This record gives sequence, structure tokens and C-alpha cells, in this order.
Amino acid sequence: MKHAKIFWILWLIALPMLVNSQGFYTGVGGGYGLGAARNTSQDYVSVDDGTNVNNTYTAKHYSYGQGTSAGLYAGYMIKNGFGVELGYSYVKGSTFEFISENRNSFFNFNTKYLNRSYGKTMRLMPAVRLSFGEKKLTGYAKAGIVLGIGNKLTDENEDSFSAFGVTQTDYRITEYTGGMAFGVHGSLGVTYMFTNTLGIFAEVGGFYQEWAPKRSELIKYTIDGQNELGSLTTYQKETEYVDEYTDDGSTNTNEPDKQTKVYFPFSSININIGIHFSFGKTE
Amino acid sequence: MKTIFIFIIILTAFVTTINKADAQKMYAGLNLTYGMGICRMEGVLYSANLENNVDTYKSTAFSLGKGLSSGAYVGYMIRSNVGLELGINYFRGFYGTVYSDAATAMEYHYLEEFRIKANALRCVPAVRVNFGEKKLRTYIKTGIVLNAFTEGTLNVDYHEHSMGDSQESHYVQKFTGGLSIGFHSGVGLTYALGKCTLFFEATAYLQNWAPKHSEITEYTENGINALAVMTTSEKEIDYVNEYSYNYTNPPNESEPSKELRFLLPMSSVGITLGVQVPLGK
Repeated sequence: MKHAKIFWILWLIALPMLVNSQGFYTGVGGGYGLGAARNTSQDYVSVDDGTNVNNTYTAKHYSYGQGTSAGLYAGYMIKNGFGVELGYSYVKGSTFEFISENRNSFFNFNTKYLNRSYGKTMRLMPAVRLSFGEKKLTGYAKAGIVLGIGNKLTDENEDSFSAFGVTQTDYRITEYTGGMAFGVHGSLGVTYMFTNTLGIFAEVGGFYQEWAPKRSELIKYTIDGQNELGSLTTYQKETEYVDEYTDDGSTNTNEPDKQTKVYFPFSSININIGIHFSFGKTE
Repeated sequence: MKTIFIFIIILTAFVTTINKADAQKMYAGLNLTYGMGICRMEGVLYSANLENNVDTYKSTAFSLGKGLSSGAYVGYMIRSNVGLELGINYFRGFYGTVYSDAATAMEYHYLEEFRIKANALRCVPAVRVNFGEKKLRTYIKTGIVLNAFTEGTLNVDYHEHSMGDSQESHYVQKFTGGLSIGFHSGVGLTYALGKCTLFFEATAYLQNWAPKHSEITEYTENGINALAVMTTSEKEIDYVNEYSYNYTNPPNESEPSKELRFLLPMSSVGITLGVQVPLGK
């Protein structure tokens, strides 16, 4: 969020300066992104009454790029109809929930593993803009790259076990951070200008983004509400994700564990609307 | 051949529905794209040296979008710099290793490897915006991509050699069915050479694919065909959004088994080269 505030403050400072700048344009907007290029997980429920065992599996698909986004952009029309710009957007991802559950009424034994995860990213988007139309209503297409910074994925796990009236609940929160997400984007939109300077825009765009975090850390661990984090070693709490590592069986408990990289999907297809300011030359 | 046939039908239908004046605004082209996989899934390459007890783990990632595609497109300029076009490409994927597991020691070697690729027919309707009036022009294309006739191939090889004794198995699993819908965009440069225009484009496809069915089409153990002794439920799988398995009333072995639908990554970014010609006089 700190990075997000910096971008908004810089934009507000720059806006009055741009007013008298021929060829510059800027805008602010937001929208919603549907997850694209998603991964798959599942819900699993097993019911055992002693005579009959029935397992049910349900597929669930997710991309952490799904969710609301808000952002801004500023650019310069090098020629009439051809501009270069830099966009920024903050994406607050939707929460995805996966359940794995065993219900055994014969032995009065139940387990439930509940996983919730959500991500956030900030997209920096240098792009080329081509626009067409000379009057109030103009269309445009944009294409460029996406640099995902400040990425974070939060993974919550709530594991409940109950047998013969005794229940235990473990609760863990792990945060994945570090590493930049690279990708590309393209969008198509229209702008309607109320005056020479002020207008609105609507666009649909695709953001292709994957992210491999550099580390993860267990930041909360309770058993039946009691904090158990202090009893864990660095090796148990922290993990570094690397391209390659070797394991000779020895473990240094004061250092993070090592695992091969994991990739989280952050792609989305967004619909955005907002306010567009155009200064000087028409687009 | 199938791609060319479908494209000719679409092109013929398109051309016959427009009049001569409109034909002036039509264009068509051929393209060749190399795509690198993006929006990938992770895999692991694992090897163990059993003599010194050191295991090595290597990260790998794959997208079935890695490969070559070639095709053709036809378009219509609705304004001087805005066009609508339809492309048909045949995509031929390259194999990617999803997972491998190996172990070595004196007189012992073990290897298991999973490699996967996909082929597909891509239909790409798009909007094109051009910029520039002279020989060198810029354009951006954005649209959707629909994959049809997608076929994935998984090769699994297993080899174990111990004290002069070898065990080998190999199977091929084909994944089919399911329409893949995604997003496409590209930014490019065109250079006019007489009536022809050469173009160079940075191209991206954002999509994944959920196959509906799979079938083991080859299965050998130590070189002997083992497919004949497998039941239908062992060879074939239907992928569904939800299913139940009842242990007291298990499914019929003469029918395909059921597993959860899963998404395979098919996104790519790459470069496209091609040639475009106007269709009108």
C-alpha cells in the first residue's frame, strides 16, 4: 500500500503541471478483472457412515489476478494517433477457498482442512497507444509489458480435528513475497470527451502475468488459539524458493528451508472505466 | 490440410458477401509465429546420487503454448486505420518436461520422466488499429482466441536398471476435447514492398485448456504391448467438474473413469513474421 500511495501522490503533484503541456494526457480509473490462465485445485468431501463411503470431488479454478483494481496512467502523444504511456494499477485479488473434509459418523471422527488464499500486486505498464477518430468519441488500442511489483500472497490454513467429543484447531498464515512478476498486456477501449480536456473512458484488457515468489514465512501459528510460533525454528517458518538446490540430509535450523520455485497465476481480463484528461493535441 | 480447408471456406464466405467497393478495403496475409510459454505451471526435476546421499532439485516450468504456429488471416478496414480481421492458425507445440525423477548408484540407475505437448487449431478474431501513412507503419491487434481440435500428448517413460536386470515401461496418453477461449494481442511493424507488406509482430496469447477426455494409446512394458489387458476405466478418463466415488458401488470397469477437470496452461508470447496483401484492386 505504501508504494500505491506514492504513485497517487506523484500523480496529483504532476497533474497541474500537465495541464499546460501540449500532447500530454492522463487518466484515473478502476475496474474488475476476471481470472485468466488459471490453475486448478479442488474441494474434497468424504462421508463414511460405517457401511457406505462416498467421496465427492469438485474442481475449482483460480487466478490471483481476479479482483478489483484501481490505477492511473500518463502519456504523451508523439504524433496524432500515436502515444507512449506509463500505467499503474493496484490489484486487490479475490479470496479463494478450498476444503478437504472427512466425516466419519461410525467412529465419530471428523477432519476439515480449510484453505483460503488471496493475492495482491501492483502493475507497472509501459505501453504504446494507437488511437483513431477525430471527434468526441475516439477508440484506442494499447499494448505493452507488465511489471508486477510489491506482490504478496497470503495463505490461511485452518485445520480442525474432532474425535469422541475432543476437538483441536490449528491455524496458520503464510505470506509469500519477493520477486517481480513479468508479463504483457493489451487492451482496446473508447474515450468520450465532454470538453477538449475532460472525458471518460471504458476499456477491456488482458494482463498476462505469472509470479514466482522468492520466499515465504509462516507469520501466525496457533493451536486452539494458543500462539505456537515461538516454538518453531527459522527452518520451519521460512522458505526460500530457488532454481536449484541440493539436499545432503543435513539441516541448519537457523536458516530458511529451500524449495524449488512455485508459480502463482496473476493473469486477468479486466473491464475498466475512468476519467481521461487530454492536454493540447487531439489524439 | 484441415486448417487450410477451413480457412478457404471462411475466406470464400467472407469475400462473396461483400461488394466490389468494399473489396478495396480488404486484406489478407500469411503468418508464422514462434511462441515461448508464459503464465506457466511449475514442475520439478529431481535426481538423487545414492552413493553420496545428495539429492538435487531443479525448478522447471511449462506452458503448452510453447511452439510454432502458422496460418492465414483476412481483414476488412472499416475506417482508414481500423480493421476487423479473422485469423486461423495451426499451432504445433513443443515438448516440455513436467517432472522427472532419477537416481544413480553403482550398478543402479532409475529414471522416470513426464513430457507433454499440445497441438491446436486457433481461430483469432481481432480488431486492428494502424498508425502511419508511409512505408513503415505501426499497428496493434487485440481480440480473442478460440482453440478447437486441441490434442495434448503426454509421454511417460520409466527405466530401472539394477544389477544387470532392466525394467522399462512407456505410455502415451492423449488428451482431447474442450474449447479453449482466451485473449490475444499483438503490436507490430509493417513495411510496404510494392503491393505486398511485410510485417514483424510481438504476439501474445492468454489462454488455458481443460481437456474433456483422455486415453492411453500406447503402453509397453519391457517392449511388450500391455494395452490389450487394460480395462476401459484404466485406459480412458472423462474429466468433469464434479463427481462422486462410492466404494460400495464402484463404477463399471467397461466405462471410462472420472476425474476432476483441470486446466493446462497454453499462454505464450512470441514473435510473428508474415506477409500481407490487399485483396481489392
